[in-house]
Amino acid sequence: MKSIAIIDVGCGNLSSIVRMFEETSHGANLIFEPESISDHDIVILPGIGAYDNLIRNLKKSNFYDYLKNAENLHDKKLVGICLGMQVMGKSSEEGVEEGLDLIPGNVKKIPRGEDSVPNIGWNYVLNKREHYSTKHFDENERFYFSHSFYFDCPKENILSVIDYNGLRAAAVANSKGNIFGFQFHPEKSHLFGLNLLKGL
Amino acid sequence: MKKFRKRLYPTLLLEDKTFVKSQKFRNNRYVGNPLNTVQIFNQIGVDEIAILDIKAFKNGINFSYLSQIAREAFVPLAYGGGITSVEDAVKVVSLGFEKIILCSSFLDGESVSKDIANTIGSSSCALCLNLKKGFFSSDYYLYDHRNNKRLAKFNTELLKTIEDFGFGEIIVQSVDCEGTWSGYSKEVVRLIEQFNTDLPIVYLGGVNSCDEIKELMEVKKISAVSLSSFVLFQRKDQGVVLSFPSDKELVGS
Repeated sequence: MKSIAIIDVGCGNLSSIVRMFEETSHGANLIFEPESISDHDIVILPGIGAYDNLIRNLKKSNFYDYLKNAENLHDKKLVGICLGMQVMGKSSEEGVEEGLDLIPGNVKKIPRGEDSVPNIGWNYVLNKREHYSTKHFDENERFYFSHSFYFDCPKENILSVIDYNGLRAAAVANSKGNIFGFQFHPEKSHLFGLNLLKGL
Repeated sequence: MKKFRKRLYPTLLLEDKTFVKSQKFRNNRYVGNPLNTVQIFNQIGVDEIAILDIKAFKNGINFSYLSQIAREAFVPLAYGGGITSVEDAVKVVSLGFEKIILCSSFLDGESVSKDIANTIGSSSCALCLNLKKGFFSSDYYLYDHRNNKRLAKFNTELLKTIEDFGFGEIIVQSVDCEGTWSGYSKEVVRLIEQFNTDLPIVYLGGVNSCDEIKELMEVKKISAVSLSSFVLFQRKDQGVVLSFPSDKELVGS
């Protein structure tokens, strides 16, 4: 049985994520300090909010230094959700703080175009690279997004995309594939999200 | 690549642990138990559920009840009512609401929305803009639900202020159409078409058929349509029957 931890630094819709994991067979524990990571197989880094706010809270709670060292995660999976994925990059146009730099790339503002910004709503996703977490995606799979910024990263790190004023990353991963994240909210994406979390 | 249709979701009015529905912001009528109602819309799989506590500006936010409601939903939730500080907003989000909706603070000229957006992100911070037609003119005015009064005349220059105040979405509600089944306000939609902003705009008020939803979804400036009476009652002045248009009924939109 996989053991799942959710990092709680006071940023985001933690109850929703806990609640969705209750619906999977895994369940999940909230953790408040990096020492607790070693007891778990999968670590979820959630986030709703502003980039600097999450980074500063990760620093205050000592998660920042711990996560920045990918060695600490070599036998774990780290999964970012929304802002939790964005802080895995090097930097963001939304803030001044340095990111965790676990996945190559930088976070940029969604450019102006046909689609309104921020992107608030449901989008179909298209797979680009094979990964166990997204392998079941088909053309009808859709997820809930709520973001003004997107992860701009090298092609090889993009797992799946959406079409929003151009193609934007919907899911990204490091080369090893054990550190990855979703721009959308699986915990708020009904059965599509439930299936995704069940498969983690 | 194919795109999903525009967002369509119910807006529900909370009053002392019940859902009610008003007409032009008056004559509240009981429509159901919030926990059951949210559960049903969740099962249907609506795109989002917005809950507005219409008494919270007087009575405060009922956090513990919101927490119970949030447990029923695996779809995005938005909450508005009584939020006056960053702390309120962060707490509501932590309970499982991805988005908060402000109204009164904006009418009072307070910029707390800026601090809220800086903390929870502007995509999680929406403004509900209630517009009411003038008595003797075709102008539209900001409407204050707390005392049923028209405030300043609305002009599109206000959009710049709304953007500066950190909002990431604008819900435009026609007060004159609210709960009336009269159809959406063509005038308000024409006003929206003149909005000079990239922010997503939601239309709310008076929608009475799937054909109207399709029409609204074809308006370029409108990103989402919200429904209330249409999904709560069988027809105008008839009994409560929860329903929601299926994607099949919206084909052609």
